[in-house]
Amino acid sequence: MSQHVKSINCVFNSALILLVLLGLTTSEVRAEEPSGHGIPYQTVADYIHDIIEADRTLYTTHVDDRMQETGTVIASESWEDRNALPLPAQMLLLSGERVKNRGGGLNYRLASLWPIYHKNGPANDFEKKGLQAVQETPDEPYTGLITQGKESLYVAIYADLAVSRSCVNCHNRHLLSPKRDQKLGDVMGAIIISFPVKQ
Amino acid sequence: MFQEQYQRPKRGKLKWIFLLAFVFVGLKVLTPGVGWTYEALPGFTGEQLTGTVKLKGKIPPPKRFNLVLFSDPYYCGRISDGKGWRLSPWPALGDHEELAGAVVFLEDVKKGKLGTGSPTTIQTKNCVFLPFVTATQVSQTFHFQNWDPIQHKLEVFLTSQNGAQTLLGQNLQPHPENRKSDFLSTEQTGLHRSGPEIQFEIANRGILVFRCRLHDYMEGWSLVLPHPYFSITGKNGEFSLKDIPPGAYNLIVWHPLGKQETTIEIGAGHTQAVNILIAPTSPTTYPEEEPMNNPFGIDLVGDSSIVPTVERQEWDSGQVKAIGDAS
Repeated sequence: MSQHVKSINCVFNSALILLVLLGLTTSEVRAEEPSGHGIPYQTVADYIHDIIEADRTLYTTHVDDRMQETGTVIASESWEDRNALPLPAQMLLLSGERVKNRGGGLNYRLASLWPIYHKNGPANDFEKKGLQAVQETPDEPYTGLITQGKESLYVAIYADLAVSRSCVNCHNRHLLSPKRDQKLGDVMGAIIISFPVKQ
Repeated sequence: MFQEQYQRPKRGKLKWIFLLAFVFVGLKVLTPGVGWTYEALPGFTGEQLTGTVKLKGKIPPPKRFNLVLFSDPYYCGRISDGKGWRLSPWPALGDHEELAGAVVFLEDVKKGKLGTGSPTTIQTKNCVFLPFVTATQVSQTFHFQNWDPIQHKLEVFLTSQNGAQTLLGQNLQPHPENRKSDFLSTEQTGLHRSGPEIQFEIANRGILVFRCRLHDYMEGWSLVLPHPYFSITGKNGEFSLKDIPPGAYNLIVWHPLGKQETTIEIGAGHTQAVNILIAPTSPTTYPEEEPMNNPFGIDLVGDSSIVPTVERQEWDSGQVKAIGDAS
């Protein structure tokens, strides 16, 4: 191999390593959902989404709201420092992390085009497009198959609406919020669900 | 249902895509923030710009925080409304609506005078970040000092439309001889002394927010710029920028309340004066104003009142009137 080719390869490999280190691994949507036996991927994602949403709603109404209305304990973003309850959005994120740490491959999280924290923004182009799509058409999830490394993932992005005044208030008054004109019924972000599939 | 289609790039092109990405990422790493680096020229002299900043319109109502829901309600409640609520920090205007504590700066200055190089000191005193607004240059150092007899949990964020990034999260310890009880006794014998200092060098330009995880009403702001052409308005809204290279600039006034931009031509050989009006633009909603059930009354802490011995905050149609001295 000539010196020139060696150095090109060296630069290429360094670039690849750097990009991987910077977390810029690309996600690629490869194909339509295959037809065949078993439950369609989107149906599985719909089931999971229904459970996540039901859990959060019940936590909001029967735990957070009630505990605060009765003066028992507050809900706060700094719940660990202040001996308080996590906010409903934090509960969802925490449960998503717990599921992820089990290593089964299922992932879910909240994300937004206007996240309070950068880590809750879109992680790749697919998520960005999905967030934009559900912003325009909240009734339809944005779905696709992507590859990450050697793994194929099915990803479903569901619009997350501002269903309670406490969600709106928190986002509008938060010191770090980049969008402060949210209203009830607005699409504030999305629930992103992904799980591995066999190709 | 939406379905995404994506074509895999051909292998030969992939190397070049990675190569270009590598160069792009490399440039981004070398030049943090937006824009290119500033060239400082020793001994540079230039023109002067002076002026005043006034607020056009009313200051939006402050945010209200129920003190008993946060740590140290009696100590931090020494600045409060006397009814158990702490109001978020907001500037007092001058007699003619002059706005103090706003940052006035020029955008995109490529080269010019040297920066001062001096660090920016941020103190916590009476559960307030002082100063409320600062400005500094990229690569300068912040010195955080806790002058309170209680612990603060400092967080520093770089704000962005894409979400804030945490730059620092560290406990600000009090001076070992500062005792909270000395500040709460009727004799008021407490002395403010600084605890161990935390130093932090800022590598990115942008808007920084300082926050305490234990006391949500504590907030501080700092604008980090790539050059030294900025000024903080004084008590009468006045500012002065010196040694500006002649040319056309975008002049920006920034305050947590809002932002105003104007173009300006700096000619050679004379001092220019400009008066700027800034209108409050954020935040747009104030849910704290809405009547709401508040079961966490001050009775919960076993006393009938939290006494504002340092400053009684009073909201009066557009102004937070400070009674006493919070400094």
